[in-house]
Amino acid sequence: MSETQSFTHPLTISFMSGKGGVGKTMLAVACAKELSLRKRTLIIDLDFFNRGLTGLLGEGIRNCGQIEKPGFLFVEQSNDSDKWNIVQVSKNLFHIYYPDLSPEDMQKFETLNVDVLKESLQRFVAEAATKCECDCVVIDCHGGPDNSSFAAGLISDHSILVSEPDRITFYGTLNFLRQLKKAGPDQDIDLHLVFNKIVPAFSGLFLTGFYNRLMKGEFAGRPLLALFPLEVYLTKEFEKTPFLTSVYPLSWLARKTRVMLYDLLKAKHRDVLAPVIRSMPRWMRAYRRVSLGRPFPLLNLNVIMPTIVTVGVVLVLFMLSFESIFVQKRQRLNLAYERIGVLRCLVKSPALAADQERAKKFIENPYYDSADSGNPSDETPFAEFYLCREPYGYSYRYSFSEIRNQILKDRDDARRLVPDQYKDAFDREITLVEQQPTLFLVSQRVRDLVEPYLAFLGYLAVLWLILALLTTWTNELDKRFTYSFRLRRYGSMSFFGFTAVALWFAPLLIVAAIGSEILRSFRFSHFQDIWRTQRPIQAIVLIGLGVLTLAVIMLIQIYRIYRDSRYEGHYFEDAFRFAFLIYLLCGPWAIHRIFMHG
Amino acid sequence: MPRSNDIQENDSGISPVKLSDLTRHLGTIKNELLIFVVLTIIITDLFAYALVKTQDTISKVCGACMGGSTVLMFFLSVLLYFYAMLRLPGTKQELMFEDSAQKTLKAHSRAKRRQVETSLDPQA
Repeated sequence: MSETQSFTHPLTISFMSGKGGVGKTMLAVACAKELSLRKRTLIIDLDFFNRGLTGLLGEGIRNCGQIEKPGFLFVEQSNDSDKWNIVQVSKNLFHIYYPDLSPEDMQKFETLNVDVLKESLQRFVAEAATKCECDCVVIDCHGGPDNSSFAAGLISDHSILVSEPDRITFYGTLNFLRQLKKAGPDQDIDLHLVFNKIVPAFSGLFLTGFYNRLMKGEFAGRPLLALFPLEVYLTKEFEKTPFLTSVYPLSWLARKTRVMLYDLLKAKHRDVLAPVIRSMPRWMRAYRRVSLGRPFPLLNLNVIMPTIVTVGVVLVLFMLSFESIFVQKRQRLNLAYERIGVLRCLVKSPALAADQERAKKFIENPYYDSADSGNPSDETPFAEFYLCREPYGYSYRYSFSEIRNQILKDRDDARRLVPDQYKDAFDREITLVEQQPTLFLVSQRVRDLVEPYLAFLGYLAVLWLILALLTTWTNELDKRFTYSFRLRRYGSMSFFGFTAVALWFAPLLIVAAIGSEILRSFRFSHFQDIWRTQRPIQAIVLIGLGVLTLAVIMLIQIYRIYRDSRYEGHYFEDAFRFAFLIYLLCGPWAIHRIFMHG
Repeated sequence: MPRSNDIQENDSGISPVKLSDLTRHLGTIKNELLIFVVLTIIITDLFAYALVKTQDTISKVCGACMGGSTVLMFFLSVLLYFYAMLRLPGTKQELMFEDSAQKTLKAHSRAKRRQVETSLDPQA
């Protein structure tokens, strides 16, 4: 006991669990690595049965000395194998490397009671920490309720019980708590619960609420320490590189470990925290505590698709129902538009101004044309007339609301063009256009909104069907992008097609829309004329810009992969999900601007 | 006579469903419920608007009542949504986990009591 007192007492954190395979070792290494950013840290593998951590860290990069085998194992006098090596595994991080344990070791270890084990372990930890001048010790315990875990919990300043939100692990966790209470009934252990490997079916909000309602009492009212999502790529990478928090600083393991350490140590051991942990803004800590690293719901295809379908169906139903109510009103308004157009250009068209009879016929029936009048020879002047009437003539190129707004906007200018004898008629038509019930105008707005979407879906459906036939590509992309939709085979194929089109053509359409808008805003008539008349040039420019954008996106992603030295696909997924969202928002707009009302 | 822990069925073979069982499942359908309520509100509001614009006083009053009821419906649905989001399991997996965890916790409490009784018992 006097020997123990000569050693300094390091800050000790132990990781325990009710059963194996919950991710204790990964969390212990992550925690030790983050602590080593500021203080010299020792990580001890107390799982003598599996020795996973020893296998992972190996013999380290440098041997820093030796330490006597702990007293709770079988010790022979003057035997070299009773010395264990303290090795450095990275900057400020140390580990005790030991050979295979003998049957005698295991026999003694398993038969010792908790109190003896506790004292012996405490002495060993203090001696090891002193030898390698470490201020912090992290202990990775054996999975399950055994005496070594209880002893580690009893000697530690902070103990972390790792669990998973599933029935078997939860049962093991409660069993562990009972056994621990039995082992140290009077001890006040600073025990915290951590949920690890949380699958997407569980939310942080639910697990926190569940803990607060049902489990908080078991942990003396302490809050839930942390929630770690299941990151499959990290599980695989852990075999290759143990220090995941350094290699993947943006992973949720790294982010949450920092917040977990802050929450655990802020009260008594704030000085051991690295500046990067201490200086984290409060809002960031609050977000990282609850978040499980899922993409924002708006980027989740499972949210996007039903929303789009629902909104689309509602708008179409809305449009159809009001179209049926306002059939006559719309026809009357269309007629008014045409009549205003005729009245406005009576002065502009000398042919029409000279022919009063025909002008009257046009005002009464604006759809009257020269072909019906039986005078084909009149085509030329009437072509001129149609041309000057165009701004207010209703056609598929202009939406209903756009024409109405245009008429109301420049009615004063237009009135000046109308001959005096027709001014009253013009005012009547303008009043008719102006005074419309709000509901009718809303319905027409909805129609203007829905029309390009329907056209957009039409374009998309064609591409969708073509691409759905490419089954090989289907399988590949299906695995990567549409896993959540794989309900049935044909379902996945359809969704593949939809997703593939959306993903790969997104930049093209976005740039097309933006380019079209920029060119429209320029007042260079020469370019505008070329743009309007030369379809091949338009197509080449749009495709070129689309390819360029795609290339830029690819380069950015490749740079990110290069920077983080890995490829797991999720960066691409994020990027394309984002592109998909933009595409869904911009696609109809692009169709509207380029092809419909351009 | 059915035993107490058997599922009791009535003559038509339908097992009785408790209200608490139904409300616990609200969390899993909260999004769908909200969408449904919002659609209902929109449709009701449109009809209410048409009624309010009529010349008949009774129709106008009915329209206003319909509009008012949609406001109430909206607030109730939002309250229900937030209650479900904060207090009820949001997915089937969460629901199943909570069920099993509650059973496990009961067993845990019993085992703890036994443990305390055993430690107090001098003969043990």
